[in-house]
Amino acid sequence: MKKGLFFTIDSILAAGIVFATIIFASSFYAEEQPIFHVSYMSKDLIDTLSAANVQDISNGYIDSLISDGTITNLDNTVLDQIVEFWANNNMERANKTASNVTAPLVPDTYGFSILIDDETIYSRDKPIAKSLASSKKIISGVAKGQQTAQTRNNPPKLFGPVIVEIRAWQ
Amino acid sequence: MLTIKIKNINKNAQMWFMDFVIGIIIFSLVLVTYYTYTTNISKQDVVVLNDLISDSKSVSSSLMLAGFPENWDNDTVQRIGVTGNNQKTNETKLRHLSDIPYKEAKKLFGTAYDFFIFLEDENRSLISMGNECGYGSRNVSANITFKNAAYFNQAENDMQNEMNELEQKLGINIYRDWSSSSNMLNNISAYDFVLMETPQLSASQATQLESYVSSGGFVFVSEQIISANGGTVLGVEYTKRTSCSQNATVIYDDLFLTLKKGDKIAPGECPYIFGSVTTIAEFPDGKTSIAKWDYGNGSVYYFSDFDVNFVGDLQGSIKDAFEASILVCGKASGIRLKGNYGNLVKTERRLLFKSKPAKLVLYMWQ
Repeated sequence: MKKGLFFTIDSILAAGIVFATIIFASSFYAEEQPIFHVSYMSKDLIDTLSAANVQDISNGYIDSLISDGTITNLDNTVLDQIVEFWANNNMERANKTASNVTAPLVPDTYGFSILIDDETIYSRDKPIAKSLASSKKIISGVAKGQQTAQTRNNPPKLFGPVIVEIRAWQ
Repeated sequence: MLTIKIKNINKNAQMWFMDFVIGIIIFSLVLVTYYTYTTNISKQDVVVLNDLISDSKSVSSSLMLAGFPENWDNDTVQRIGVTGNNQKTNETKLRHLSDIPYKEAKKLFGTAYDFFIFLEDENRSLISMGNECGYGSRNVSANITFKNAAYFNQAENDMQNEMNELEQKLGINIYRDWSSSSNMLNNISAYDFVLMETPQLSASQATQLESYVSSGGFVFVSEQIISANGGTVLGVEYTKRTSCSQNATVIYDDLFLTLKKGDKIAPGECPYIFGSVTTIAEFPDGKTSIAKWDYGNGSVYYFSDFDVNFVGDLQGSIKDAFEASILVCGKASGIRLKGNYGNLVKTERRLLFKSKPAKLVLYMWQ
């Protein structure tokens, strides 16, 4: 009976040592995942948002803002529109536009945030586990209520330039 | 007596310790050997892996640009890119890419590794690229299915051989055993795509065809759409001509029909259509010989004749267009790499396809 007990403890200890060694060795030999995906994510995201016009992008939320007259300049890119909402202190619409447009572009496994002049417009709340990449663009535009085609003596008020930053992380 | 007993115990312990040390050494040696020589992350493989990563970055970045020259085709291409430098996928370039031989593409990308490129939409479904659901090595397969297709020929059978070839190539059945045009139109709703060769429809049959197309059907139709010498059908004016001695010129690069702008086509018959259409080829008098247009929820391609004198292969081009039209790509998760490979790198890029978010995925392996 006592011999059997010693044998069991011995085998458990041995098995524990074996498993601990394998886990240690595996972690020692495993290559770290390359981080270029995160870098591409932030770059592609900022390039896509600054390339797609609000009238071209097929998005239910943006379409509703166009049809109710909230978005008036259909030549705005999505990024221009987010900045315009921010400049007009319409943070809720800036946030919703950012979250609606980016939802199908960014998988759930990624965290990301959009900042304008270091002010967070939208952030997906995920901890940074491996790496973070950032891409920036400078945006400026015509302030609310101002016409683009005003005379030289009566130029429109402009906002910006502001720095729009997209951070992506995993 | 007690002293002797203690000595015996110590000796036993020394034996056990030696045994343990030797055991651990053997075990560690086996473990180190295993990880050094059998895993795919040995030192040699790390070099290859870094090279693969570098090549996949270079290839994916090239694809995200417009390429060179900007409006390249498979004859003029020097650098492959599938966008307009604006994150928007250019469908014509995708089509041209599918026509470039794989070995040529490897040279243009400057990589020695095998690769496969595909586009997936928001629902993770593959987006077709010409007649395929991706481009690259033949060792990669995707889940594909084909829509129900049918062929109807009333007076001519210029596309008969092409239909036979397609059936053999794709392993599908293109239904063609119609007893009459009425029989075909009464059963047409069972098919997603129909190729009609000079159907010569009556006025009531033309209405049946319009109903089919407007509810989402897709037809390729040639020559005499209706039996009368002229009339309105599918939203366009059709006119028959008695004599024909004119060459039509291709004026539009169509995504499906791989005809080149400037090519001359000499159809055997020269009927034409007029209306709100995209003209692909026109006669010298400005009449439309080949055109496409949407009608309701469906689409129509019209050809003055399938039988033409042409430096290229119009019937082959129509066959390719037929194949592309019935192709249905499955989910991206159905992508399978056949055979063995050492290292594999997957690169994902975000872009827009038809104004919707999409993903360009590149697999590259050794």
